[in-house]
Amino acid sequence: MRTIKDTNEETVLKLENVSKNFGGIQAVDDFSFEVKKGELRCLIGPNGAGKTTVFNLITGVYPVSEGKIIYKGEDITKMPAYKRSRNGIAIKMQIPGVYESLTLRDNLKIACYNFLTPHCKRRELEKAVDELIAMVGLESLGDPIVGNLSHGQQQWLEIAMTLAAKPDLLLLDELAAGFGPEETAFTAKLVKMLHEQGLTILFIDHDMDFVREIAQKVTVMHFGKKFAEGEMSDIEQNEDVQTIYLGRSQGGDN
Amino acid sequence: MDLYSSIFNFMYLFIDSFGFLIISALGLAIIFGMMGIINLAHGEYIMLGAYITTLTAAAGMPFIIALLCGSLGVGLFGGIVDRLIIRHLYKRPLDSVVASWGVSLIMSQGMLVLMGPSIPGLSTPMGSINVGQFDYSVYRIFLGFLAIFIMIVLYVLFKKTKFGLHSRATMQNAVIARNLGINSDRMYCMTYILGSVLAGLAGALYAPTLSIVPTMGSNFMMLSFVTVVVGGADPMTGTLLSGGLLSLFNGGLSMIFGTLMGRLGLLVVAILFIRVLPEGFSGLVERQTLRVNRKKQEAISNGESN
Repeated sequence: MRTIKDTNEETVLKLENVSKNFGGIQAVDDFSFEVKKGELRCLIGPNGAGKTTVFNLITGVYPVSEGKIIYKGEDITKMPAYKRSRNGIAIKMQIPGVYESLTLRDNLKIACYNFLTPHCKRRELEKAVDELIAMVGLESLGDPIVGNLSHGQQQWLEIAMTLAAKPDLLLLDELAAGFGPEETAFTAKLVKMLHEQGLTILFIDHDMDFVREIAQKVTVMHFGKKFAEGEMSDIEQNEDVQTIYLGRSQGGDN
Repeated sequence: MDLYSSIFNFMYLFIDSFGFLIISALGLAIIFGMMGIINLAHGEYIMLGAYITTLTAAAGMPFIIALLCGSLGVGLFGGIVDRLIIRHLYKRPLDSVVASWGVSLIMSQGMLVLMGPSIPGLSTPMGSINVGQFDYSVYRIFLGFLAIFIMIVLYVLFKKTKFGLHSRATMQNAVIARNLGINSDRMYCMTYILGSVLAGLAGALYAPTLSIVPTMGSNFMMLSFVTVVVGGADPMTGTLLSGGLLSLFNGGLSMIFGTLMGRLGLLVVAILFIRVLPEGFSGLVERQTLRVNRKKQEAISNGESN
């Protein structure tokens, strides 16, 4: 049984006035936002708005210039990236983050090792790998060198590697990029399924149909700042958002 | 000299050279191939291993214990050097050359100040056997086979264990590794220590066969560099094939024309080889495996579409 405090309203991730500049370029500017437990939140915004940088700050690829990152009530601003991962923050990166010169199973083993009981038996490891392969539907491939797989297959592999951590907070950076309609539909189904299993998911995407289909709440970024936040339907009606993002001038369609 | 003893003579020279090249090059190959660090202090690490082993054995310890002290002692030393200096230079080959050259000078001169121009060596264990008109050292034959055994152990370590996979993952892309919860800093440090332990082991194993002087590292340095350059970036396959090829020429030429020509021949072969295949054996092997794998993959997808 869970305690009363541990309700759906619990904040999983909180960014407080986070800024990041790269040698004078303000990529993220005084950005604050909160993600509650079990939420399925989308981060949208024009190219260069700072979305991927926010992800990199959350996972710890870059240190923040200013501000605080709180995860499950703990200040993780200074925590090294690998510890954030072990604490349950997982990311599927924009460019497939897989090891191209290694085999499919080796890739998954790398991802599994840290999240199985120490000195687990080889059989348990192989079983965990089999389960992940089945979850993303790559059973028919065998054990090829990953560099020889198609873009889509590499994407699926990375999702499987991300899930190996059994994360609490899942960050998905342009998951559906480069996918055809069928693959996008399968992706949407998978994301929904993971969300139903209780995962808190934060994702970036440009495909508005995809966002509309799965997102509950949307945060819009523009020039590194939070521009708007709310339900998808409200955001789509918001004229300012349409101006900056959906590519419509206020005079009508361009 | 009859045929059999000639064959044996050649085999001996080959195995001796093979063992020497592999055992002395592995530490360098792992640190270079995995971490992109050219460790110019490699020879001095080997020297340190030889000193520790010789002194421990001279103090009355059994040789096998002295051997362990030699390799682990150098591992510890490598760990300290890594934390103080090398960790700032990961993936910066040129800077690492300068820094590790400095380390090598400090080590060889420091050893000269500390222990004088030489210390009494150990006698070679295992005795010798007589074939034809020559006596052969059993220990050096043993080292040739030990080299193969060490390669097998390292192969299993890098291909089959958690450390090996995480180390390879970190070296290929540290950002992905950290996102998967791998402590990449620790992986770099442990890989450097492993390379140092192997250098120490080389010094320890060859300590009884050489005179123990502070400059002894340079003997190892030149040959291990040639082996690594001909082998290319893959520390396993590259070193094995390169050790084999170079020893074939070294052994053959040594038998016919003597040691000097053997050594020269080895260098000439190395230079010609790099001229033809600048990426060494690793580049050649990688291209072949990729081609075979791609064909296999195509066959599978063709099968699926039918």
